[in-house]
Amino acid sequence: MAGVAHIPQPDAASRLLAAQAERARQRRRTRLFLLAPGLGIIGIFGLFPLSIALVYSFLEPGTYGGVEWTFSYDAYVQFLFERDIFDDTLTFNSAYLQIFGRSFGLAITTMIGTLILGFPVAYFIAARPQEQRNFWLFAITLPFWTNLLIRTYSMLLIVRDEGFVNLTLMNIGLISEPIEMLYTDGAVLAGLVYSYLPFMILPIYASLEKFDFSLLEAGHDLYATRTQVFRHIIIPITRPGIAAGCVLVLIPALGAYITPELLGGGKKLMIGNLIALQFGSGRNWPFGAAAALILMAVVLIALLVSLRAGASKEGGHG
Amino acid sequence: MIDVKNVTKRFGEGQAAVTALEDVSLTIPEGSFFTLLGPSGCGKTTLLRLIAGFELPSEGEIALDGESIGHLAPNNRPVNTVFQNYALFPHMSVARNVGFGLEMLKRPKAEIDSTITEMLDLVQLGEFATRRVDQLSGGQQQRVALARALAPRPKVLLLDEPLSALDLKLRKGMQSELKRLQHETGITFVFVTHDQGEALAMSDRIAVMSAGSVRQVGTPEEIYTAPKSRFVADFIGDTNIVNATLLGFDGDAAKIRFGEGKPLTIHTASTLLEPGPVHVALRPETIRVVEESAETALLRGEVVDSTYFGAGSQMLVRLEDGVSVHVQVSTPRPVGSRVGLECDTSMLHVLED
Amino acid sequence: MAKLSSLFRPSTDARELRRQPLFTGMSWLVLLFLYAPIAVLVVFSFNDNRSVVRWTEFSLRWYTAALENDDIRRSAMISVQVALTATMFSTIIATMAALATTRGSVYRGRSAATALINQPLMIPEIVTAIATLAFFSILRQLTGVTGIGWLILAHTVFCVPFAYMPIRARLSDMSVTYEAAAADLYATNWQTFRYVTLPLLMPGVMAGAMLAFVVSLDDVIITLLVAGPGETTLPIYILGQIRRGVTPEVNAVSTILIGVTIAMVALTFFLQRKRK
Repeated sequence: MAGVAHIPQPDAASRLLAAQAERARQRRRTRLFLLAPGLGIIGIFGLFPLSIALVYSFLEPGTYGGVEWTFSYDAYVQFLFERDIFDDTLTFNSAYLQIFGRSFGLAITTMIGTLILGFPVAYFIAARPQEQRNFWLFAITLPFWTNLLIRTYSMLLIVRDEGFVNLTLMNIGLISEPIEMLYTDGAVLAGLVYSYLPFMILPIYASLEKFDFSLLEAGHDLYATRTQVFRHIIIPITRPGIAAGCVLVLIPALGAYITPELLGGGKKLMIGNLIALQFGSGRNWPFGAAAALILMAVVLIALLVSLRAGASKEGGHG
Repeated sequence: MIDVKNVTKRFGEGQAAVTALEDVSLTIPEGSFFTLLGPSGCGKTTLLRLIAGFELPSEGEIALDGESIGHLAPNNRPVNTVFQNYALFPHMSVARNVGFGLEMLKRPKAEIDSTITEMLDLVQLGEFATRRVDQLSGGQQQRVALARALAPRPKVLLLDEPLSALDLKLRKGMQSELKRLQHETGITFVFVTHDQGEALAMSDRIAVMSAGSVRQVGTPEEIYTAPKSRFVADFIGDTNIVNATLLGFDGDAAKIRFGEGKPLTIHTASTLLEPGPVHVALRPETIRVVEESAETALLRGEVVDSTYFGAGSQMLVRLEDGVSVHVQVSTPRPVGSRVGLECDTSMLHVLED
Repeated sequence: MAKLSSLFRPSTDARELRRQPLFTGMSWLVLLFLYAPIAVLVVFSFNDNRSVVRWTEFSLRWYTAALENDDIRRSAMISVQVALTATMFSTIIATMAALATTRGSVYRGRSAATALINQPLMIPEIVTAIATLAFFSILRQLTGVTGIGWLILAHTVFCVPFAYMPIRARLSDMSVTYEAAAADLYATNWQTFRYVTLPLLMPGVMAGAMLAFVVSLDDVIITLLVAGPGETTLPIYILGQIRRGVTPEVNAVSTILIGVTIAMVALTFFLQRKRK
């Protein structure tokens, strides 16, 4: 271009290169500095202990808890078989399988229960005007942050033999004897649903939050019935939210400890109690570690499945 | 003076790299109001960000008063920016916003305070010093942003579409306000906009950009009356582009002919064109409508539409080769009638492409 | 304005579609379901009677009893000590991580880093608890170090993702132009962070800190397994009491804990809504 004053600066290009490299280097340094504590502490004290648990599951239990550093896969064998103390023969034992089975049954029922109760609430909140939404969101979030132990305890106060429900029913003369609710699967289920309901409502709400409700009118305008609108518009839109909610409920419900402990009275064991027991009075750390790892494997599978379910929202119904 | 020399900017790496600027060179004279004009995605904002230092060029050099600055961090350049949405710090008062630059430069308190007062007076917001920025109107925020960017007395002020968030009336007011500020401070203003009216009204010089390169640099008059390329002619104002045949050159002028008409000698953007079909630009307001049979008629066609717009009417005339031409007239001819079009040959202009 | 907007409100029929009338009733029932047990607990904590369900008279005697109980006071102190320390560490760590995962260009491994930060949320707490116990029992033996530091460390780990969430949310809502403007006005990287990024991020940081505090204060399972002797936190104390049988004293302590949580969460909610 004419008129450009060319000042001789042979090193301009190399200076630019140096500056580019310096900026990239600085960016990497800053990033590393910022990430190191978080990744470090979670990597070392959150992720790494899982591999310790894996190692433990292949050791022998110590007499007073802890482990003996001898290789053994007894923990996994014990899961299905009972070893006779005298002749070392193995007989099939379904006790632990039953605990796993009950845990899954309860967790999946909890998931379905929270979905049935939670979906209408999420939908209802999303359809509110903005000012009312905040009230509802706050009301739903609050129990989510409130101490799980205390909430479970409050549930206990309600369903006990001499609890709120029984006393009220007896006072109005509907029943003469208290209904036994505590220490039943029903009580545990109610406790689990009560505990994890917000986990279902919030993600479904999130998927509906930006939803343009005039789409529904468009749907009706095109002669869709209420059910059709629901199936073809609302369900596909909330699918990722439902998938996320199911995982968020399923994971803690599978690993639940407090709820079966208090409402199941330690008789209706779930996996969580079984694991904790091994690290407590059971004094069988390897078995507890093995049970925990099996639980984690199941959870990971559930996560992967839900990722699939959440992602395939495009190809939707067929 | 800013020298942009052979600057290329790519985003991303390898296959996915996108070239935002391709070998751009231009000179921004000291103390001028210089506008980068172009449609969105043309690279004008990228160029601004390179001058500010938010990005580094992939290749090339940027020099300020002969000194290379293209490699410096933004906080080491005597260049300040007025952002599109102002980016006023919401947690600070108006005064603290304005004084922020000097505070970061660790200037004495007294100097900072007096500069704040001076700058707020300059933008006529003297009594707003203690306000919070979210208590101000859009136009007032705009002025604070200007004061903040001017307070450290930069050599260059960069303005990234600063008027686009204002409504039409305020925008007109701010246009003259900006010109006044530029005059009073003598600082070089580099102004980015996609609004050609704004660019023509305010600038000393305009660089028209498209697709990552500078298409033409010149005064508003040059850009308007003598667009070099079809792109510039199209982008600036309402232009008719008609077909003609280039016969040859006569010095700096081109000899052309419309259809089978007589040869004409007119301006040209380039003397390097091959003889043959070319495009010629003519502005609607320079065209006069005459009888079809008139000797002076350069082009002939049929009126296909006519729209009344108050001060006159705009007629759409379809030429014999099918190209449509807009013409501004006070009394339109009826639709369907055939007309001749004439104009000063000095208003005609051969385009580069 | 209000009148104007009512002009554009959809007709009654259209609103009917949004509403799904059945859902309204269900939502209120769910709300009742969520709050009724807590309400019973709170109400009966003020009952002047041993029974936790038969109302006699309003009284603060169980609160007095709880506050005079040395075990409760000791465990409350431990809870606060652990929660405050873990909150401080986890909030700093989460703020740094949030800056690294939202600011600057996308880099390889960014989503992996985000996933790792959120890892404690992905695993059932009981698994984290026993794995931490196993790891710490080795470390305790190897280093010979004992004390409450281990419990604080465990709490810090699971508090990080909770602190991280609101901070990250705030950061990604925050325009990077503010930081560009600061750099343009001669601020160094540190000055930009100190005078612009951090003050603007503060509501998010406070929200994160409060969530971390609440989560740490409420934790049962990990504490139950990891805590050493003499490191009984308030929830662990409460759990022990509940196992022994319900007493109104527990109701009183629980109500206090609920009160703290509600105050914290309400404040968080308020902070996050402010300046949006």
